[in-house]
Amino acid sequence: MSKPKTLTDVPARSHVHIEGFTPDTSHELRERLLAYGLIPGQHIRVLAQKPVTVLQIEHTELALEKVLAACVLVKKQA
Amino acid sequence: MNTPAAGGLLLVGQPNVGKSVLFHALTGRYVVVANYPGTTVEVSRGSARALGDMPVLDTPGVISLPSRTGDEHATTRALLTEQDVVLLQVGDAKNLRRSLQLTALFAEMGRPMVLAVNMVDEAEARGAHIDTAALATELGLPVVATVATRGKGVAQLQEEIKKAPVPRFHLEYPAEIEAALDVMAPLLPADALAPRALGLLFLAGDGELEDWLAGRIGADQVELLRAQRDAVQQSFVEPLSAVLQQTRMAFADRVASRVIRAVDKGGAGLAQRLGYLAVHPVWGWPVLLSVLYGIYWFVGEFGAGTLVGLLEEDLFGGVINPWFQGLVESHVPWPWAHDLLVGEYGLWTMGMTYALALILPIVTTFFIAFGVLEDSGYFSRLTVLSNRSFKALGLNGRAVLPMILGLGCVTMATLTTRILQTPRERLIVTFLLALAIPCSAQLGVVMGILAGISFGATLIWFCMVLLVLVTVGWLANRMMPGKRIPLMTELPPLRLPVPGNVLTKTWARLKWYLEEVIPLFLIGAFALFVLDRLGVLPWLMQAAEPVVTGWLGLPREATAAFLMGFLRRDFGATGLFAMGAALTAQQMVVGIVTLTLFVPCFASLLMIVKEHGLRRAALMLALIMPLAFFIGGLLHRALSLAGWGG
Repeated sequence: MSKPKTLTDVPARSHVHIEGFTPDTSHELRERLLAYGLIPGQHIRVLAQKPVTVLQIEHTELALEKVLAACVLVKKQA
Repeated sequence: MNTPAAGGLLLVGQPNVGKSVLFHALTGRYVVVANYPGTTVEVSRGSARALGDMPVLDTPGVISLPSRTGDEHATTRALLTEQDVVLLQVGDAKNLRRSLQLTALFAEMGRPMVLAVNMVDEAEARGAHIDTAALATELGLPVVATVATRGKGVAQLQEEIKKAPVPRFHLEYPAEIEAALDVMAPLLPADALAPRALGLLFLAGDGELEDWLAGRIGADQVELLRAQRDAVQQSFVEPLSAVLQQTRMAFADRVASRVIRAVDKGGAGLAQRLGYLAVHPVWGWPVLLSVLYGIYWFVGEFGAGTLVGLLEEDLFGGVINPWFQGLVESHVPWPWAHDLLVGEYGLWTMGMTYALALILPIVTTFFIAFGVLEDSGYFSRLTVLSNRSFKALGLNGRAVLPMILGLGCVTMATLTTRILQTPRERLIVTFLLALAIPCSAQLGVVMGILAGISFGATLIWFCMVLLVLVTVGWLANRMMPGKRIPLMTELPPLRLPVPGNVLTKTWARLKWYLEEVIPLFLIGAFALFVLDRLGVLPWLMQAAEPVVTGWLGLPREATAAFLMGFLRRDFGATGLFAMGAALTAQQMVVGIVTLTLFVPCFASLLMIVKEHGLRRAALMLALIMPLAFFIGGLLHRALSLAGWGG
């Protein structure tokens, strides 16, 4: 199995599913991300990777700095 | 079970969903609303006439509970301490899942509750129709679709609030948690929120709740609760707060999928494309420059140039003041009263003329421009664009919001620092606001003066202030313990501002300005008059000569401007403006740079004391004053060396 992909590894304009969070993700961050709806299985669109990661979940656009986006594990949509 | 709604109505919900707009619609009391999360940072109160003068409370938005930032804590506190209230949750129709996730928590608090699904127009435009009747059945509480900015659904909402029941809502959490909640319930106070809801917040680790509990139940009971929480945590790998959150999210997802009917809407709209452009790493900058130029043109050229010219020179200088002077001189027998009213530091000639003819048109245009930008949703884009620049100051892009707000009013901005996550960020931003961010009134006067000298003068002033801002921010970041928080923020959709809403907001701010500024202006003019009469002013000028003349290279009369600067920085700048031809271009620039950095105005100083305590406020002042004079003197020497404007 290859190294798991994080949100920073996928290009802009791609569609992905949330897999979970990296083990070193802090409680607080995990909770905040969950509150925005980043729950495992959720489909999201990556809108931009520069200057920060911008993703769309439902109709919310969320901007995440790289270090935070790197905590989110994702799987590319088949 | 029906409970009479005696204690009031508590508006709760996520940030930027329109709570404050609904508050205005229900109470007629205006609180500033804008299109960015974190506009409301403390609880506001009003009363709703249509509901028999029921008190209404507007709270800051919470992303989720437990609360994490200062503004969110205020909401938790209101939930805990306001007795017998009806909850009105305001949700965002386009983000129903997120809204419902909070509903699941609010609905178990044991309070009568109504859910307003707001911005249904935007949801429809994006292809989502919500079946509110089905949603009401799923949740067991009244649901009303609203478009708060246009008053749609407000009448129905009022009807539902009058007869709001306590929801018969129950969400089943994992068995271990349910067991713990049963054990905890008898330990928790029964006269506030439902013990089950308190238990859920406690398990999630809400610090605000723990503080509140400490005053309500014994320390041994709190210990028992903590032990219970630690025991439940053993059953889960994930933190409890995440487990609770996931349970609520799963519920929200289930319900949302049953009540949302998708209507297909292809492609991104113009607003969405503009939104991408505004945060684009390359195109974002030209967009920012055009926005800045637009503000400069509207406030600097039109407001400070055209309007001030019309009012100050033509209306006041040409018509009103000569007439008033004549009136006073022919009807008032005492010469000292002539001086008091229409003399050099006269209440009318200095106080009212400055406030009404010089500063009023400038702040009016600024507030209009600012209101348009606020409602457009552009400021949140700026958060992303500026994030990298704020890194050097130990901050993230969210700091741009209080900073920009500071360009409107530093006092309001100091309060808005509550949206920042850590005390460290709040302190750095507050300090920078006090030091180097000029407010709209001051900015207007400064722009007006500098534009009259040359563009080069404006550039020197801008670069100096920016240099101080960056250097001091960088040093503060180095010297203060603690870590920087990376950026995470929501980007609200770009919208075309509704002119009526912008005007209401501008008027509300102007009213505040007139109420605060005019009395202060008069007090300032009066104080200078008295000091002048008593001979204190000449003495002060003498005493300040080594600094003002020796170090800054300004004429001694400029001391009066610095004294005025203690009241408000814009008075100080106006004082320099009044000296006009007596100052060379270089003296003007040095004076203005010094005044820009000089003490924050009296009102914002009081706000700093309120938010950070007397000790820190005094420390800031002790740093800022010498620093301002130090920089001013350096600039004087540098400009003399370069042979500029002497």
